[in-house]
This record gives sequence, C-alpha cells and structure tokens, in this order.
Amino acid sequence: MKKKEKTAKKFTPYWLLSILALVLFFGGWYVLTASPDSIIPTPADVVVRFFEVLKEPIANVPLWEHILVSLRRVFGAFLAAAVLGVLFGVLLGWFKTFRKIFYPLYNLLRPIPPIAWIPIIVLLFGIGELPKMIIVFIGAFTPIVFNTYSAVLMVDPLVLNAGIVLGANERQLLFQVALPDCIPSIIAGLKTAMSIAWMCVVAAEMIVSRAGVGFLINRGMENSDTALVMVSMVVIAAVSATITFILNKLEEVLCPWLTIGK
Amino acid sequence: MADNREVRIKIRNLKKSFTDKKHNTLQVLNGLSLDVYTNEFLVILGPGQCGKTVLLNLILGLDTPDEGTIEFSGGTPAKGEVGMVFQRYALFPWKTVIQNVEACPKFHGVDKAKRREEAKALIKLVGLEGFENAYPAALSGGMKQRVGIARAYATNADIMLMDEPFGALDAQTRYQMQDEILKIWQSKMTTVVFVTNNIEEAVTLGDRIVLLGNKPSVVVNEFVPNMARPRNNLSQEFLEFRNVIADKMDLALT
Amino acid sequence: MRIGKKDLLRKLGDFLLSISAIVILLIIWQIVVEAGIISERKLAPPTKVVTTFIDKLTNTNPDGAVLMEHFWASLKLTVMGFVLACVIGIPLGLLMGYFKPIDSFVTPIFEIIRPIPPIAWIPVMLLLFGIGNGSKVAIIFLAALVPALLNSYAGVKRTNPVLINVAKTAGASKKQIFLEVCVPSAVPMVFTGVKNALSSAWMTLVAAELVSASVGLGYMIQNGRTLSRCDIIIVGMLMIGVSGAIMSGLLSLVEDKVAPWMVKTR
Repeated sequence: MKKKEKTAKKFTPYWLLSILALVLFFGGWYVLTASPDSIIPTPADVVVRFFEVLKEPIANVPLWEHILVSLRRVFGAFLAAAVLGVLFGVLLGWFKTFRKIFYPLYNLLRPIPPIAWIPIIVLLFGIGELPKMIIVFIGAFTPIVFNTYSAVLMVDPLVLNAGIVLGANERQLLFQVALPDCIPSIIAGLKTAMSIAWMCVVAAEMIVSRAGVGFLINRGMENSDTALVMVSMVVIAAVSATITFILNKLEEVLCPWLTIGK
Repeated sequence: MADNREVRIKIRNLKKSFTDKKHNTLQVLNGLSLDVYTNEFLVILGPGQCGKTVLLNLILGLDTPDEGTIEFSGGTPAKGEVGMVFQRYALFPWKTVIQNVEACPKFHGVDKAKRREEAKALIKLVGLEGFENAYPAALSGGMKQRVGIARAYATNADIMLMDEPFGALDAQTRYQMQDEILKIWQSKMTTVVFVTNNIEEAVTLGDRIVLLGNKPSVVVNEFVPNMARPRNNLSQEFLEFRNVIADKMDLALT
Repeated sequence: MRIGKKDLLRKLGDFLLSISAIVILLIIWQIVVEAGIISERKLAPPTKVVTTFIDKLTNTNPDGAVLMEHFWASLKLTVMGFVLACVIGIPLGLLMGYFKPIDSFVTPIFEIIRPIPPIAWIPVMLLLFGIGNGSKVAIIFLAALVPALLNSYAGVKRTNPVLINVAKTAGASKKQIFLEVCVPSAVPMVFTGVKNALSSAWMTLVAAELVSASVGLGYMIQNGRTLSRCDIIIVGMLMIGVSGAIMSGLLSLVEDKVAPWMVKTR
C-alpha cells in the first residue's frame, strides 16, 4: 500500500525547495539593500564586517571575549537556577504543607517577566556582574521550578504504587521512583530555561553593560553600525543554537529510555 | 472440602466506599468475606468495574477499608513482602529489565552481586535471557509483563497478587503467558490471587474461582474446577464448566 | 453538619497558610526598609508602593501619563503583534506540518530566524519601521510567531497515524484529512503555542519599551530607574505581572470554550 503510493506520486526533490527558499531569502535581502543609500547592510556587508570584528576588538575587547563574558553570566546564573529551581520544585511538588505555604507566593511573582526586573535589580545592585546574573537567574528559575513542580505532582500513580509495593521507603520513593520519573520534564524545563536565560542576558547587556554580545548590539545601534548589529545577531543565534544542540545530546545521554522506538 | 487447608489470608466483612468531589458516595465493596488458602491458585472473577483492584489495594495495604478486617497467618506483611503484578505493567521506564527485576532487593539494601544473581535467575525463569539490558519501551506487551512477573517474584514473597495481568495482551500471547504463569507458580510454590474478567482464563488457571457481583461487590459464587492441568479449553468438561460460570455471571450482572 | 464545620476550619487553615508566606514577605520587606537596612531610595516599602499606585492612577508625573494610559499603550501593541502572529503563524505551522513542499520551503528561513532572541531584533526593527509603534509591533510579532508556528507544526506532526488511516479508508481527500483530522488533533498543541506566544509577546514588549519608548509600562519603569523612583518601578512591575496573569487567564477561558474535549491536567 505504502510502496504503491510512493511510486504513484511523482518524485519531488524537496531539498531543492529548501535551497530555493534560502536563495530567495538572501537574494531578496541583497536586492532590497544593494542601493548605496540603504540603511540596512547587504549580506555581503555583514560577512565582511564579521571578519573585521574577528580581527579588531570592540570597546577594547575581542569578539570571542564578548561571547565568553555573556556565556559566563548565563552559565553561572543558570547553574544556580538549576540547583535551586529543582530543589524548590521538588519541595513544592512533594510536600503538601510546603506547597500550601509557598506556591501562592511563587504564583504571584511568576507572571512578572524577568526583563521587567531589570530596573529594580540595577537600582538595588548597581551595574556589576551580580545584577545581570540575578536577572538571568530569575529568568531561568521560573520555568525550572514550574516543570519540576508539575512533574513531581503528576508522577504516574501506578509507578508510585509499584514503588510502594516493592517496599521503597519514603526517601527511596522520592529519590529512586518519583525523581527519575520526572527527569524528562525537568530536562525540558532546563531547555526552556536556557533559552530564556540567553535572552535575558542579551536584554540585560543591551540595557546596562560594557561587554557581552548584548552590548555589541547596543554599540552597533549607538554608532549606527548596523552591520555590527547583524553580526551580533548572527553570533547570538549561533551560540544559542549550539547550546540547544548540546542540551539535546545531553538529554539523549541522560535519558536513554526516551529515545527508544523514535 | 477445602476447609482443612491452612488459611493464608482471612478477609472478613470488608467495606469500602469512595466519595467524589460532588459528594456522591460510591459503595465499592459491601461486606466482602473471603479466605485465601496457602499455596492455592485463587482466581477472582468479576465483571468490568467491580472493585477487584480496590480489593487488591486493600490486601496490599495501599488503602484502608472503611470496615472489616484482613488477617494474614503469621502477621501483617510489611511493604515488599507481598508480590504484585500490575495490569498496565507499571515498570520503571528509566530502568533496564534487570534493574526493574532487582528493584525490591535494592530498596531493601541487598548487596549488588547477590541481587544481580537472583535477578538473572528470575529473568531466565520468565524466558527473557538476552534482554537484561533492554529498556521496557523496547519490549512487547507480553515481554513487559514477563518483567513484571519476575519483578514481583524477586520480592521472595509467598503471596502473589495479579491484577488482570494479561488483560492488555493479544489472545495468542495470553495463552502462552497462562501456561508460563502456571509453570512458575508450580516451581515457586506461592499463594496466588489472580484477578481477571475472562471466564476462560479463570477456568484455565484456577484451583478455585470466586465470582464477585457488580458494585457494591460481594462474593456471589465459588467454583472448584477439579480438572487436571494442563486444561484443554476445547474439552467437553471445560466448556461445560465455563457455561455454568457464564450463566452465574450473567445473573450477577443483572 | 459536623463534617461541614470541620471542613470550614480546614479551609480557613489552608487559607491562612496560603497567605502566610506573602504576608511574612511583606512584613520583612517593610521592616528592612524602615530599619534602614536597605535605603528607601533603593527599595520602596510596601506601604509606599500602595500609595504610589493610588497616586499614579490620576497623576501623570513623572512620565507624562497615568497608569492606565501606560497600561493601554502596552496592551494595544501586545495584542496587535500577538494577533498578527497567531493569524499568520498558526495556519502556516499547520500547513507546514502536513504539506511537505511548504515545510521544505519555509523551514530553512524559519530556522535562521528562530534562534535569534526577539529582543536582539530591536535595532534592526527601529531602522526598518522607525521609533514609533510599527517597530514594536514587528518585534512582538516575531516573538509570538516562533512559539505559535512551532507548536502548530508539532501538533499536526503528532496526529495519530491511525486516525489518518481511518480517514483514508473512509475515502477522505488530502484536504479533508488535513481539515477534519490533522487540524482538530493539533488544537491542544496550538493552544500551548498560543499561550507561550502571549507570554513571549508580553515579555518582549516590556523589553522593547525599556530600550526605546515614550509611553507604556516598560517605559514607565525605565523612566523610574533614571529618576531613581523605586516606588514607580515596583508599581510598574506588579502591573506588568498582573496584566500578564489576567491575559493568560482569559486565554484559558477561551480554551475551555473552543476545545472542551481537552482533558485538563489540573
């Protein structure tokens, strides 16, 4: 049945369509911006600017160090958010009294977007490394807590019963039955958190910073150096895509039982 | 006739009801009394939702009855001292076959070498050699339930509860598993309480068959198929016995 | 009746527990500021936040608009960008999920845009659409487009193949299969996407207003920062949080109406 269908359909090389789309995208971009008085640089300008940026530092800091500065902020805050977020999420999900006391507070603060915290954090903590990391922390903490909490609350009761019947004590039930069951959701939360963290660092650096990829965008904007803005965008996207790729690989390694039959 | 046998579980006047969010009370068990004899293969037969799982949960101590008692000869067992095979397998998806089987000894702190050895023997017994390191997601339904059975027997308990363990399997696999479970039961000498809604399965397996009525559940009838094993489900004797139960079951449903 | 009284007592206890953390936090906050542990110039006490909130309902100082004007300005832009993103993103995502040529054509471009945080678009959008509302709507549009499209796409992709085969054996055309089987199957995922799109839109708007605006809640708190008016910042933050919560609440109500067959997890 399936085979017949395949041969009946005429063969369409779909990848040609993908190539066509990319050609149209970059071609269109080039055509629209080719005139000398265009305010937006052409793709070629962006590539040229990229190699310039590779060679000459911006604000006395080379490109790779800008990236490193941002990454350090993201990872420092993300690690803290991961540890504390999973802990808080488990406490919320597993202990009823803890949930009753702290869930309303968490729920009250949750809808405030991390970026809206920037002004007050800057006012409270100044413009050093700490305020940026706090903002990234807030951004990452919320989804990690939420995913962990819902996962713990929704552990398959059948699996829990199996644990009880097999003689797991309360501690074993939490650490050896409930938590392993939650790992996929927790990892999903970490992935969401990472992309929000990355966005937060860009935002925080755009608003107050002297280094980092967000700062590069801001510098480009201030100097009307749009090619620099776009180079920064490409760099930000590339780093973000790399992080996502690494997290996906990590998920495969940590949860081998999830990839079976897919 | 069986009264001279040793009673392993004595259930008396068990009542259990549940209240939903709209404050409707549903009486699931209404004064159920039952004896389970040592080393017998007892089948509890009942229609769809007649509280069989509730009964097993009460025996396991996962839930407490509103009224009535459950007594075990030799005292109430702790958790992990009664084996349980679940209808929907309830395997730990993040554990491999062998890790699932050795879950109970691991919870009880048995050292790794010893529990591995026992788990391997059980895996061999249920015919899953070569699949020790597979994850449950990679197994068929029948194989998953073999893991479930091995995991239950790894408790070394002398009572095994089985909640419609073959309910989700296809007919062919089901017959095969019925043969296997009888073999395992005979080799391990345990008391089995086997819940099913399938009359043929009940007649194939049971030393004794207890028929439960619809909610609220009580024991309506008891049957003893005095047939030698393996029982041929096409023999005259088998079919007649089956029909007798089927008639009673229809009555129980109305 | 005795049970009723017991229930009432338990509910009262639960209620007290549930507000305890919030109340204690407020008290500590007040004390910390009153005792001068944190300067009042850096953190306004809760009482001050309340008075500023009431004052800001009618007072246009220091940012030229009363609270509700800021709120409406922000809401208007968010809704515009969000609705635009849904109107384009959902159908496109659904079509991409079912029709391979569309998928092959759109995916490469989408994959280029996707990893760029919407905030990073701000300078380019300012150049393209000027510093008015157009650029902000465009940024919000991008922010909301990604989750709306992605989830619709995944929703169609995850249609149970058995249902598609049922439709096929019943003689349904490709168009019918798409409209009658794939689209309804995708509805729950679409809703997840729409919810994510809304919160992403709201967050991005705040960011855009922090960077460049002359009205709006984001502008209000940014202006509060330049003037060191922490009370206004906190009022703005709370307003942003409450509005976001109300919007997603309304969306959940719509969800119940549109897809009543969906099983609620809680």
